[in-house]
Amino acid sequence: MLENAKCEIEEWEGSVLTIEITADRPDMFSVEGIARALKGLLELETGVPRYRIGSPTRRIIVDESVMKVRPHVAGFIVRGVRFNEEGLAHIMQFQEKLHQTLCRDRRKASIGLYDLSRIEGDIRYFARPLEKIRFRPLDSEVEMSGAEILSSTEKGMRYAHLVGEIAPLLTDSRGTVLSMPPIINSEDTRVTVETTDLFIDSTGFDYGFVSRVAMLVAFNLAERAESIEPVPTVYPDGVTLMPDVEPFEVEVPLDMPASILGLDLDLEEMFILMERMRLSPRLEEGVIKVRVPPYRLDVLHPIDIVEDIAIAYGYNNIEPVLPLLQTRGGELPIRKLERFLAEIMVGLGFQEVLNYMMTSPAVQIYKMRLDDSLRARMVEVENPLSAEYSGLRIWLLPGVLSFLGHNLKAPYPQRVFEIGYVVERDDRYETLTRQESRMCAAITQYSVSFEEIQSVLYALLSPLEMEPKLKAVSHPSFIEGRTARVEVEGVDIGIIGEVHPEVILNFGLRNPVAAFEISLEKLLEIYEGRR
Amino acid sequence: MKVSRSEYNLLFRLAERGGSGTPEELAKELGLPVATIMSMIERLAGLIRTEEKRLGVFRLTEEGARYREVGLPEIRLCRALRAVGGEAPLSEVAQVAGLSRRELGIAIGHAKRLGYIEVKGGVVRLLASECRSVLQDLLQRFDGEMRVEVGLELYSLCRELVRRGLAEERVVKLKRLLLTSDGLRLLSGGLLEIVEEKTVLTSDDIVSGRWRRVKLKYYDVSARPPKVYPGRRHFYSIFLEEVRRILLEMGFREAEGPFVELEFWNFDALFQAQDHPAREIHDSYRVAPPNLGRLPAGGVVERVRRVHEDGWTTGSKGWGYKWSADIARRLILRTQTTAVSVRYLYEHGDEPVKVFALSRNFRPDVLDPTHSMEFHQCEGIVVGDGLTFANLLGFLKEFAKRLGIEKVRFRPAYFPFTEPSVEGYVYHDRLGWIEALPGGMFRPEVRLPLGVKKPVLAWGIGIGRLAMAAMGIDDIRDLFTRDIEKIRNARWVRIAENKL
Repeated sequence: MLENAKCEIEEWEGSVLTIEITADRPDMFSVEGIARALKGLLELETGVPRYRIGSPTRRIIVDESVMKVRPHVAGFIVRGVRFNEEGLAHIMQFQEKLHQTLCRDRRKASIGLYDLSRIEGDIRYFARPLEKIRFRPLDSEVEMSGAEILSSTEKGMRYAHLVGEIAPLLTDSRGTVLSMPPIINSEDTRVTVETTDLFIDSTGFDYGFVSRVAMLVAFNLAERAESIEPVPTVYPDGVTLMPDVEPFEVEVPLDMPASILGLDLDLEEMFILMERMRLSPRLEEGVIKVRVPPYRLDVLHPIDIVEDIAIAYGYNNIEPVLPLLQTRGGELPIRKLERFLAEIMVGLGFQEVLNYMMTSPAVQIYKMRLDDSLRARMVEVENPLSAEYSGLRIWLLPGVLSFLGHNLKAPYPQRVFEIGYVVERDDRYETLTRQESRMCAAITQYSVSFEEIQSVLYALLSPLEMEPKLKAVSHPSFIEGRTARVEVEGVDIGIIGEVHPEVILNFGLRNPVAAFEISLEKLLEIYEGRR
Repeated sequence: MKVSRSEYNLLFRLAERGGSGTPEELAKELGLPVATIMSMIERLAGLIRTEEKRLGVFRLTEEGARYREVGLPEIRLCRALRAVGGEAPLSEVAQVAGLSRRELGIAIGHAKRLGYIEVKGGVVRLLASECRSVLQDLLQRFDGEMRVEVGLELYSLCRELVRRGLAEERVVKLKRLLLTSDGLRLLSGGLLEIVEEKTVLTSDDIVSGRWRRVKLKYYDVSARPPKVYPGRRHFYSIFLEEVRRILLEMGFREAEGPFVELEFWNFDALFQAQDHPAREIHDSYRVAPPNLGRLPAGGVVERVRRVHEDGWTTGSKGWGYKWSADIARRLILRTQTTAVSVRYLYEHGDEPVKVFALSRNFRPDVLDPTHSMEFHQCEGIVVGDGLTFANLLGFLKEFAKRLGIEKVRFRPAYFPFTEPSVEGYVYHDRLGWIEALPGGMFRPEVRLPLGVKKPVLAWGIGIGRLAMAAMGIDDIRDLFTRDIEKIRNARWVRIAENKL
C-alpha cells in the first residue's frame, strides 16, 4: 500500500518502519500526513479533509527593522492538540525534515513551534543587534546573548552563517522571546506534552513560501487537533497578509485523465479515485473541477491530478500497451564508423579498453611533458571530489598509458585501443567547448618500433580508401625523429610515434610504447565529403 | 614396413630387453620423453602391444615395523609359554612375554585361531610344538616398500597385514610394452625400412616431393598449447552495443549532445527550479571559469523563464520565483542524458519519433564500489499523437523483455520533469527486485516551451547497473577496470537469453 503511494520502505525492524518519501510530497513527511493519505486509499476517509478553521484571534506585527534582514513571517494557531512523548517526537521530526528539504537547510525558510498559553497578545517580529538579544535558548539552563547563542549552542554554530550582526526576533506583547529565527526557540515557550494550543511560525524571504510552510505544519497537526486558525501578518506599510486555508481548485478537462493514462475510465470511477487521493471533484460546465487541499504543494497543473488518479488506480493494474508507432531507427554515422574501425582493430589483435572521461591535468598535461599553457584547453571543474578526477580528457593517449601502467605483470605484448570522446575548450560553441570521437592505439612490449604501429594505421585506413601522409614533427610526448602528424587528404587527423621514454617512466612503464591517436570525427567528414 | 629411426630404435631396444619394458625404462634408455614413446606406440600398434598391470605398493606402519623387530604378539606369546613350561595363568605369561593388555588380546585371538594355544579358567596352555607364522616371515622380508602384483598369493598375504593395521597399501598401474611376435619377426627378418623423420614440414618438402620419403614426427596432440590473447571488444562495449541494437530494432534513432552543458538545457528546460537541490554544488560538477555559455536565441529562453515564474500558458502555476538567466547560462558537466532529449525536442518539434541517447553523464561522487562520478544512461523518448502512460509502461516492459528481464513491476515516483512518473523494478535472481527503469511523460511545462504539443514518453535508465546485474559485477569500478587480464578473460554474456 505504502509503496504504491510515493513511499518507499527502506527498512522494517520490529515496530520501526523507515520510509523514504518522494521529494514532491512534503505533506507526507510526517506520520500524520502518511496516515491522512492512507485513510483515503483505504477509503476510511475520502475527499478533501475537513478541519475546523477558526477565525484569527491574534496577529503578527512586523517591524520596519526586520525588513532588510528576514522580511517575511507567517503564523498559525493550532488548538486542542493531544500529545504524548511519541507524538511530540513525530512533530519535531517533521519540522526537521521540512527544514532539511523544502526549506533548504533553513536557507529558504525556518519553522518554530511554541506553547500558545505562554504567549500574551499579538506577536512582534523585529530585528535587534545580536548583543542586545537576551533569552534562554531551548535546552539551556541560562540566559544568553544573541552572540553567545551563535558561538556556543549547537544550533547556533550550525546556522550562524544565516544571520548577520542584526538578527530577527519574535516576542509576545510583553516582550517574552519566542525565538531568534532561523536559529533557535526560547525555552520559555517550549512545547511539552502538556501543551494543548500551539503557535507556529515560519520566517523567510517570500510570504507565499513561508505561509505555505507554516500551513503544512498546521494542516498536519490538524489531524490530531480540534481546530486550526490562520494568524494574519501586519506589515509596516499597513498591508495585512494571511495564509491560505481554503482548498484551491484545478480544472481537469473531462477526457484528459483517460487519454493521458490510456485507461477506459468513466466519470464515476474517476471521481472515486480522486476522492481516495483526498481530492474533491465535481462536474461543472463540462470540466472536472477538483478541490485540492492547500497542503498539496506538488499540484501545479491538471496533469498532477492525472497522476493521482493513476496512483489510486494502481500502476500495476494498468495494462502496459506497446503502441504501433512506425518510426525509422538509425544510429549516428559516427557510431557506424567507430564500430567498423573497432572490428579492424580487433582483427589486428588489439584489445579494446575503456577509461573514464574524467581525469586530471597531472595525467593529461604534466605526465605527457606538455606545456603548462595547454592546460587552458582542458575543462576542469570547480568542485572536484578528488585530484584524480578533476576535469575532462583532451586526448586519449594519457588514459591508455595510465591503463598500461597498471598492467606491468600481465603477459606482453600488450596491444590495446580505445575509442571515445574528448572535450576541449572552444569559444566558437555555445557551451564554450567542442567534443569529438577519437581512437587511440598503442603497442607495448620489450621492443617495439614506429613501423609496427605505422602498419596498423595504414591497415586501419585502407578500407576507407585513405592513404595517410605522415609528416615528421616534434612533440614533447614522443621521441624526436620518430613522430609524425597524420594527414589524410590534406586534413590533419592526428599523431603517431614512439612515446618519449620520460613519459613511459612517468606512467610507471618499463617497455617502449608506440602509439597513434586520430580523430574519427575528421575521418567521417573526409569520408562523407567525398560522396 | 616404413618406420622412423627412433621407432626402429624402440623396437630394437625392446628386443634386446627380452621383449618387454616399461615406457619409463625405455624413455630413459633411448633418451626420449615418455610422451614421445607413447605416441610411437600408437603408430607401432601390431608390433608392440601394451599390457597394464595393477600393483599394490605396501609399506609397513609404525606398529608393523615394531613387530618386525620384536615379533608378532601371538609369536611372542607362544615363545613365553614355552619358556614357562607350556602352561601359565594369563597375567603371568603376559608379563613374561612383555605384552600390553591390548597386545595380549591380539595374541590370544590369533594364537587360538592358529590352534597353537587354548585358554581355560584363566590359564593358557601351549598346544603346538613349533610356532611359526607366514606373516612374521613376510614382515622380515620388508625393506622399505614392497610391490606386489594384484592377484598373486603374496598380494593376499600383504592385504592381511593391511587388515591388521601393520601395513598401508596404494595401488599403482604399471604399463608394460611387449614386443609382439609380428614385431619380432619384422625386426629379425630385416623387414623394417628406416625412413627420415621431420618435425617441421616446409614448402620445399611439399613442392620437391620429399614429403613422400620423409616421416613426419607425431605430436602429442593432447598437450596444452602456449596461451594467446585475441583482440577483443571490451565487455562493457559489447553490452552497450547490445542495448543499442535492441533500441535500433525497436525503431529508435540515436542522438548525442554536449558533455559540457548549459544548466539551461540540463535543468531549466526540464522545469527543475533554480534552487532545486540537484543543482547544488554537491550534485553537479560546475565548470571552472570561463563558465558562462550562450543561451539559445529565439523565444525558448523567455518561454522557459515564464513557465518557471508563473507557468506561462501551460495551465501550470509555475514555481513562483524570479528566474535568473545568469544561472541558466552556467556550464556544468551534463548530469543526465535527458538534456540530450530536450535539445532534440527543441530542434525537431512535434515530429513523431523515437529517439535514444546512450552516453555518459557526471555527478560529484567519490569513486567506490557503489558510486562513480561518471556513468552511462540509456535515455529514450517517444513523441506521437495519442501516446499514453500505458504506452510508456509498454515500452519499459518491452525494453526489459528484450534485455531478458521477464519480471517487471511499477511504482509511483517523482521526477521534476515528468508527470505521471514511474519507477520500474526488475527482478534479478541474485539481487532481488532492483530499481532500474525510471520514466514518465514529460510535463506540459517541459514540452510546451520547446514547441512540442504532442505527448512525450521519456525514460533515463542507469544502464551501468543493469550491465553489472547481467554480468555479475558487484563493484561499479570494474566496468572501467584497469586490469587487462579481467578484460582479456571476461566471459561472454548473451543478453536476452541470459536472464538478468
